[in-house]
Amino acid sequence: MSGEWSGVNLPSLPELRHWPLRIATYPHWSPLIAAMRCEIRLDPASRFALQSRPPSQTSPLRVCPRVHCSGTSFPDSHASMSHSALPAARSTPIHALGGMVVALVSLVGDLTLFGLQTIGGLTRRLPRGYVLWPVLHKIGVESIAVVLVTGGFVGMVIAVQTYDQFAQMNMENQLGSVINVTLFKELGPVLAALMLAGRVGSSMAAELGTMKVTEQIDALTALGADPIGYLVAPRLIACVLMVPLLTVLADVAGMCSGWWFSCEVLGIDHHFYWHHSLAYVAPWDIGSGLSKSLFFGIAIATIACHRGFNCSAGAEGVGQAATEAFVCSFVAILVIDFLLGTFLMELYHMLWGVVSMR
Amino acid sequence: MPLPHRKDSPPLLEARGLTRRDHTTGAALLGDISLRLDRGDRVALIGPTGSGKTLLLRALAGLDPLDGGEVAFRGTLVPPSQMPAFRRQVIYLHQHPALFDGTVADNLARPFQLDSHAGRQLDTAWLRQALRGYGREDTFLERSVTRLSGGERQVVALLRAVQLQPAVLLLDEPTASIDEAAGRYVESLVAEWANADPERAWLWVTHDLSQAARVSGHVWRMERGQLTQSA
Repeated sequence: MSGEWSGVNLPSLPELRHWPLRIATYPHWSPLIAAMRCEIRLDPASRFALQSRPPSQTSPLRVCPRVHCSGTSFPDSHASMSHSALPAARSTPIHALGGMVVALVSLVGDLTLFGLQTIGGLTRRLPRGYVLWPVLHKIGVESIAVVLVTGGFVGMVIAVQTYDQFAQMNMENQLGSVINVTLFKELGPVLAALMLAGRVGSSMAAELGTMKVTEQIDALTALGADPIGYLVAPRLIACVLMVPLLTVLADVAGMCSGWWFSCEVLGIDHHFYWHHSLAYVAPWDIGSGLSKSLFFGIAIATIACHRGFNCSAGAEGVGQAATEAFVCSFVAILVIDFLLGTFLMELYHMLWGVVSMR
Repeated sequence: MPLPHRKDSPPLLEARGLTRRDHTTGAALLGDISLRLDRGDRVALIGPTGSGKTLLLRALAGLDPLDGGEVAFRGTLVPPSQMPAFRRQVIYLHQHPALFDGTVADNLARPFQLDSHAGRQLDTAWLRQALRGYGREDTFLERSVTRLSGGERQVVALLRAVQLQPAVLLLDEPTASIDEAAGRYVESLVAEWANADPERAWLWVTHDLSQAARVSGHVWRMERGQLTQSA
């Protein structure tokens, strides 16, 4: 049964029927086959292999690059098949969308398992200090400057963007309230996290990806290490601890820069600026922002490490892992921000009896 | 296939029915391999390129997922949770040595940062002596691994493994990228490690039949994912 087969000279059905058939897939397409009835649907122009394992043969594997059939049940007499008689390939936008959904669900599931595995490892044993401290330094201390710059400009940008609207209503003295509430609840945590996803997340993915590609992770495993516990757990802890702390720094930098720009450049009275700020910024706002940053830290570490651990071979694979880490973290941060923001608002309303958002 | 049994004593390392397939093509990479490595065994594994020697060693070290089979150490099956502890005793040495960023000393000290080797310390005196045997001064320890030759990397990786005093070494062509003199040094280093404890055993992959004769009492041969035993 070996040989190059095409739609017009496929092996006869009676022989195929008794074989467990399997299609070996190549990237980016998913052939479908219902082996029991030998209904074979193949993507045109795709290379595939029909693996046959009859009892008497172990591995007569053949690659069939020239099959142009799709979506049909082969008749017993393959001689009657013809290229033109076969329906067109099933490669519609719906199929592509379905593939993307499946890939997304798989990724989320894989990430969840990876995160649970890491947390499970942490419950058994915490990372040792000499492993954790360098990671804390790299993620925390080395990110201070970029976070301060981010927070500082966010505060001033909010002042610039809101001043005109408030001035038109003669409410410019209340600028402090909108700057600080926006900063503490939303923009401080989110922008700091996005900045860290770019700086820390990509770096972690590239570092672990390089270790994967150069077989360093494999070598660690061979030496008796638990790679998740040794490499991922310290990064998760560092992100969980450092992202909220860096968010505090971003908030403080934004608060100071917003105050300076509003009062010194836009000419708002210091007293009213702080008076309204203190009147509108509640501890809940600060707490909700920091609680978000905790989840942002978990997301950044988990996604970055997962991408690094699943890095494909070569320099291109490392670059792709770093990019994917940032993009996935970016999306995850926005999704978490929305979901947690909604949840926290509902919780606030539930606790303090304010009318629900619905 | 029949087990390459030679002794009736409890095996140090035993594999039963190791099976692995290429999930893309369905080809058998490891075909139902069973073997036992007894205490004090010194076995050479030979076979053509692509016959599955590396995969077998990696499977024995529990580094790759298998489609079937099990590995037992000292007569006990190794559960996934005990893999790190198992790999402390059964160390696989890569064909292409994977060194960590930093200096030679960093690389040699790295295993002692791991939980599985906690409480143990780098034996600097032994290391310096071993390096002198290789013709390297103490300053070699401070050299960056990026400046090492392929052979030096191989020796550093071997030293890193041997200093951990495992019970079994799975050596994947440890002398592939080094000259003959250095190769003899590697052989003597491994022999010294094995002689320190009569229980210690190794499985040594090589393409050099004369080396196979030097380093082993038994030679196994792999062909197309199947293990056979020769004299």
